[in-house]
Amino acid sequence: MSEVIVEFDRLSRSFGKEQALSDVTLRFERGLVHGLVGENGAGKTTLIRHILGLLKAKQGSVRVFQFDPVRYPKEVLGRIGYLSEDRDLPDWMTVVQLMRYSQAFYGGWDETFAEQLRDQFELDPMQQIKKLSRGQRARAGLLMALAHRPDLLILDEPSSGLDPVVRRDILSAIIRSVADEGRTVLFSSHLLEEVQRVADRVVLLHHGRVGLNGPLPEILLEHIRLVLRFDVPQQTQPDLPGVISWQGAGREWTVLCNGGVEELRTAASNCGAQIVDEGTPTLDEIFLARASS
Amino acid sequence: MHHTESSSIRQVKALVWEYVGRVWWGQLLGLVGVIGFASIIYGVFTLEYELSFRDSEVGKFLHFGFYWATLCFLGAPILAAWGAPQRRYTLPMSSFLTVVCPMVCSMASMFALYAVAATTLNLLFEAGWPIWGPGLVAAFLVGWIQAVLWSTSNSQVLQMVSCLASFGVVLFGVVTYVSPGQPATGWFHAGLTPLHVVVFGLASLLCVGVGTYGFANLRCGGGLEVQRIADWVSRIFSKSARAKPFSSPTAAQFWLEWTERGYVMPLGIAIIGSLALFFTFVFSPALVKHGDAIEFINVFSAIILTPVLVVGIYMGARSEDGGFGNFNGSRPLSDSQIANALLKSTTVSVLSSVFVWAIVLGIVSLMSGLASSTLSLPNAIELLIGSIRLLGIAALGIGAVWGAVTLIASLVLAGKKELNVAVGTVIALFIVGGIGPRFLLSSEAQDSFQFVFGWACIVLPLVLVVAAYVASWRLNLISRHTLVLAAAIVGTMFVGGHVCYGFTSDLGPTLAALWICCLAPASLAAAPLAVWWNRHR
Repeated sequence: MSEVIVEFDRLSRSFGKEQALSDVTLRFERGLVHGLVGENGAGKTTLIRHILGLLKAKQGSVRVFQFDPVRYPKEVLGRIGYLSEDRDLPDWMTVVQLMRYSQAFYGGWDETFAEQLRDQFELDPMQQIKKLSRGQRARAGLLMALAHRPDLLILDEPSSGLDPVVRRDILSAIIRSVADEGRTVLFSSHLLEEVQRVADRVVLLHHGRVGLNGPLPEILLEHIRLVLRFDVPQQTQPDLPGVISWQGAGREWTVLCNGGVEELRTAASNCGAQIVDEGTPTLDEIFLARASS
Repeated sequence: MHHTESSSIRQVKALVWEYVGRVWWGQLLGLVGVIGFASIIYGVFTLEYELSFRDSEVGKFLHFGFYWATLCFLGAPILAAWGAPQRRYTLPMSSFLTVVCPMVCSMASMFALYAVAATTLNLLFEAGWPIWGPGLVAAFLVGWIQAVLWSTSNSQVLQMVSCLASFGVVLFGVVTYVSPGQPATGWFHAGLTPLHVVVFGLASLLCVGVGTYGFANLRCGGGLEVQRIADWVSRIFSKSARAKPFSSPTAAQFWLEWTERGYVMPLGIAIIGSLALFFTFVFSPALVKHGDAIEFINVFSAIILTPVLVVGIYMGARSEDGGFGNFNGSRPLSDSQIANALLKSTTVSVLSSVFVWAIVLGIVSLMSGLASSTLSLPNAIELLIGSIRLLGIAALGIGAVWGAVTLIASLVLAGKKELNVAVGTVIALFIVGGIGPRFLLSSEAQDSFQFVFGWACIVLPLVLVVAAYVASWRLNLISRHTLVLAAAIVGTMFVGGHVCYGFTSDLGPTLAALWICCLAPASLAAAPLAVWWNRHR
């Protein structure tokens, strides 16, 4: 087992009456790309803020590089590159000022690499941050997160504001190169096809709880999509074991199930249904099924 | 037949509802602040000196001073309520309606709040605050500033310069033309005439016109050419930013603190000092000749500075909700380092402000000396003693100012909710302690209450300072160096005060000075504690 970079142990957090995280236990290992997915309000950003020490662990614990991020912010944050969801950057600075300012904090800042990224992202060094478009602002934030070659790269909704070309070519390449260098990436995203393309492990959060957690290939293999055709039209969803989502009406129904395929085949056959198609669902389908079940 | 509302009426209702929702809390706090602040002073004057304020010079002077503070306490939440006008560019409403509706709400609120404050103080203390004249002027000023702000929303520098310039022009016009021949304190009390009402009406139309034109211009991407000059100037400074990297993370953080908000205080002092010089030399040359100029400038500036400080407290917040923000919070710096960068920036602010102020007073002193026919230069001994006393004044005075400013900066750092609670608690305590006993207790009980309350006011701040140091120490936010620095500050200030006032012969002033000195270094513990609290929620 690789070195554990981030560890949550029974972490719970509420804001007033709202339970944002509930008994979350997770480990993120070095050298892997971890995808964090979940619906709006699932707790993804709350989890990330605990890693950064911006939220205290009131119940449970958080360890990053074996440190408590609240007690040791310098030791933890000096090794993290972070792109926030809201692209919080000082509006009044220019791009070059922001680079100069950020460089002071990170011993590993690579000036050549930073210039290369700036050129690649087509950012005018003299442009003020407040005058950048949304996409340019996202790229500026990404530049600051990458230039010091962090041990842990945290990207909160990195694709938001980026055009499809940048998303597909640049972002994926960046994420893979970081992981290939033995560093760790954690990114949260609503674009599940993107997560599926680059992530090694996926964590699904649902109402503050961990719904799924494991290597992506295993998660995909554990789920199967079947198309069932019934002899008799069904008015309601038939009761079959292991099914986590149903779609359809009448004779033909598409089901997504988690494990126990043989048991499901037997049960379907007993209900007078034939399996006319089967396949591996996408992460998107698994997420939707989990979220709605 | 069912009558449906027109879309304009629905839109107006929606804007008014939004306004009330955004501003009611700030207005309530502002009102409590005004009444509380004034009650303390009026209460002291009433109880200690048994003065009468109605139709007296003292009453008019106090009203004149408090009026400007009232404008800031009440005007700040009103002006901040509407947020950036850019939010309304895409509303399906005409520019006229988009500007008029907020402006009418703001002006009406301002008048109503002033009227409530004035009526309350008149009832409690017979303060003699006139309602209509100053109320209408206050309403106009809020409308005018809103019009200027919305017309220059693409440049903060332009906003500041425009507001100050127009404020000065308006003040000049009112003082010179509304009540010619009246002293400054008298023009508010010169009864409301039909001419005043007409002038107010025309002035309000001017506000609407300027606001609508500016808003409409910016709405379609227009803007004043000054923005290009501002961009060009900022590019020059940006070029120098390429030159060399920062020597350390704390140097970088200091640069951020100074560039974001540190320069504001000395710049503001320079502007206010210039205004004060302008008024002294242009409008009151007689003051210069008789050597009263320094007193005038100090009073004038205190009147302007006090409410500006209140406004600055709320505008100095790091974000709309007062939180630390993702960018600032994720800097790889310890809480102490972030706090120290802030304290260093604030210290430079205070020292440079004092320097600027000294220049202003120096100019006035020089002009007063030249204008005076009895000017004589001191001898060497007098000069030496004067210099030593000046150093003593500087140590005590600058220390006290630094302590107050950095403590307020620490409160702002703790978060908006915490700041509101702290400010509200202090005001409530003073209202309870200042005016409550007068109405609720017998005179014997009042004496006992004031004895206990007085001692509580002395002991509680000291307890809070000690608690802050203990908490910071236990959280490893401060070190032995901090304690040594705190002791050095207390010692320097106390010695400086002794040099100035030589109060060892009298225990009272000595203890009072020691109390001030002990409170001064509170921010050395409070600032890192505030960062720790706000950064890790």
